Amino acid sequence: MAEKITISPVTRIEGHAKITIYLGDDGKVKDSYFHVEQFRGFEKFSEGRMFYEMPQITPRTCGICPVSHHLASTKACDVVAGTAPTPTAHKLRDLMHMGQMIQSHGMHFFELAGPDFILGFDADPKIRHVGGVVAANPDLAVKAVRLRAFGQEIIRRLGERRVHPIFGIPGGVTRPLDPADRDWILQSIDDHLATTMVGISFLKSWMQDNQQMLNEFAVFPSAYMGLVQPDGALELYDGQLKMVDVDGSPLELFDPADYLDYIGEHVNTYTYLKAPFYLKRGYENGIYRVGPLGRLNVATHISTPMAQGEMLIWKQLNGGKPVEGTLYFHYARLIETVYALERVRELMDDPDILSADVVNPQGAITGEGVGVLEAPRGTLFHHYWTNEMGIITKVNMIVATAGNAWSMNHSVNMTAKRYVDGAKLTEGMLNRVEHAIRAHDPCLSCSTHAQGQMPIKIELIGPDGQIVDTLTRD
Amino acid sequence: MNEKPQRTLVAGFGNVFRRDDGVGPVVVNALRARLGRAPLAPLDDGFDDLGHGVDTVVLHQLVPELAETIKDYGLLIFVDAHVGNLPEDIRVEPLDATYTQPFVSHQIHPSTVLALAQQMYGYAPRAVLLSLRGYDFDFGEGLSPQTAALVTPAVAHIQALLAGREDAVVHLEGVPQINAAGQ
Repeated sequence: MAEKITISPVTRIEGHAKITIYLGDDGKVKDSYFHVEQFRGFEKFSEGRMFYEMPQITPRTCGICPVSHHLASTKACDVVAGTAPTPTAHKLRDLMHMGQMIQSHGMHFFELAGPDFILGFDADPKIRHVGGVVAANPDLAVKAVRLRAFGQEIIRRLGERRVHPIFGIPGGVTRPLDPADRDWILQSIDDHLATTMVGISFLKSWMQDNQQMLNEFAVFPSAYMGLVQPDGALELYDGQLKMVDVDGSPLELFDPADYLDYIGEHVNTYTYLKAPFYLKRGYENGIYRVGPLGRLNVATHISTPMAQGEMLIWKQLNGGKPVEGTLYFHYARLIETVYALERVRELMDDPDILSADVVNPQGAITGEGVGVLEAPRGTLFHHYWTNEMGIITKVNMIVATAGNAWSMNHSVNMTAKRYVDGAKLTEGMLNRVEHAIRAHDPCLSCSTHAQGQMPIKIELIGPDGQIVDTLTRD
Repeated sequence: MNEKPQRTLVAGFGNVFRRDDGVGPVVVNALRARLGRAPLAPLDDGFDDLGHGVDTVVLHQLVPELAETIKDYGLLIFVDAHVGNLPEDIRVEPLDATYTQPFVSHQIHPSTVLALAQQMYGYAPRAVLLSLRGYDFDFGEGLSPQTAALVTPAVAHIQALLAGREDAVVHLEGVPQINAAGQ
């Protein structure tokens, strides 16, 4: 008799996300699905507003990565307004973006994923949480909170707000960098680099001791995508989009503004989360992965010394080919944190960073603009269409988490088949299945979007596996 | 810590662009009006105006570094929306400093913020979670009429907590939950 196991995370609003595991007659996992049941409607919500309101509206999509939306939106507005940021404004936006990467990545590793690594995947859930990390290493825990707070403080000093900043405007930013803020930012970078390197050292030690798990936990080939600098180095704020194939060979290198020529979006009936894919190969052959794992797999190197030291190790993990294991997302995330901290120092040392030339005048309304950057969770697209007055007529957003929609579902399925035994379920098994998602660091509250017409089908499946009823919502 | 702080922090959280999910910030501004203060502007989180006997902040969602802020308060009142599986119109529950592991980064519970403060700074304030029933979580600004009707009684309850703070918190578990009429 087929049996259904459902892991439903506790959320404040019902219908957020769900994992469903179907067991076959033999009690083994037959199939599994990751359902995202809440969708974002910010695209429709934004229609009819003035384009320049978007950098303040879209950050409300998320409380953890608002800066990514703020800056991607600002980039799109630059184009709509027929302008471009001054060199200093470009660097200051980059700086704010690094603050975002530091706070988001720092929080994920040390406070969300850390308990599984530090306390163990099978540890009692009563202690397998950030409190267990604090108890195990209180000094590191305090430093980790300060690492995240450092990123937040960069954002606050630039944008006057820690969560929803007022900073990016078409053609630049609202204010130059205060020299006192520059000095404040510079003074603690080494401490935060040291904290991150402790995290890397710990993770590498764990990796050494857990090779079997690394090699069997949702390891699968895919293509990858991310921004790169002109010389192929890792880029997070502004660059060309690069796709590589399963063996690392180049597939595409293109201007992000042309993304519709390369990327399609597929609607799956089991989730509100659309899955983007490489258009030329179609769904599902064109699946690619984004985020830290994807970015390090497309980049040839990293432009800052400490992060590059780790990148050299990364590139040897799979003999020079892309790293396929889902758990390696964590290592990539910490390497990017090192890069972000080093990039902050580079920007602070730039003699141009204190210039007061931070905004260019606007031009004529162009009617359309695309803004793309690498959010902590992956490539984020904002695409606006306006009328001649600058009123939004249409919006398309491909949020970062969506880039890994297929990957999350596939990881859940692989992990469930590997670890879940229907005859004797344990909390540790279920935790591994959840971790398959957690490793991607999804933003479930912003990652789904519907434009009013996306269909969703709900199937009611009886004990014999037969469909009892079907409900389709258009 | 030799002397416990006496100040109170009221923290409303939620997404103001998801209708009733944003009731926490609405309650905060209604409370500020009762206290004779100007409302927080739409993009103002209140963190630059701390230092009163009763401070107010608004957040999109809870974050770990809030632990550092709350360690300076004697009483902390979280204000949030809740959904229909909780029957009360306005629910007040005392919070313990206990950890819960969130599924993803966006689901930190108020109790976890308290636990972080307790463990990292050796002190967490007494705290309550006051939540108002939400009816409409669709995209948009403004509250549903049903949830909007709960704002005034919620503010009255917060004022009761502020006025008789020791008694109100100590005996909170015995306090009947209140309905939309504030009864």
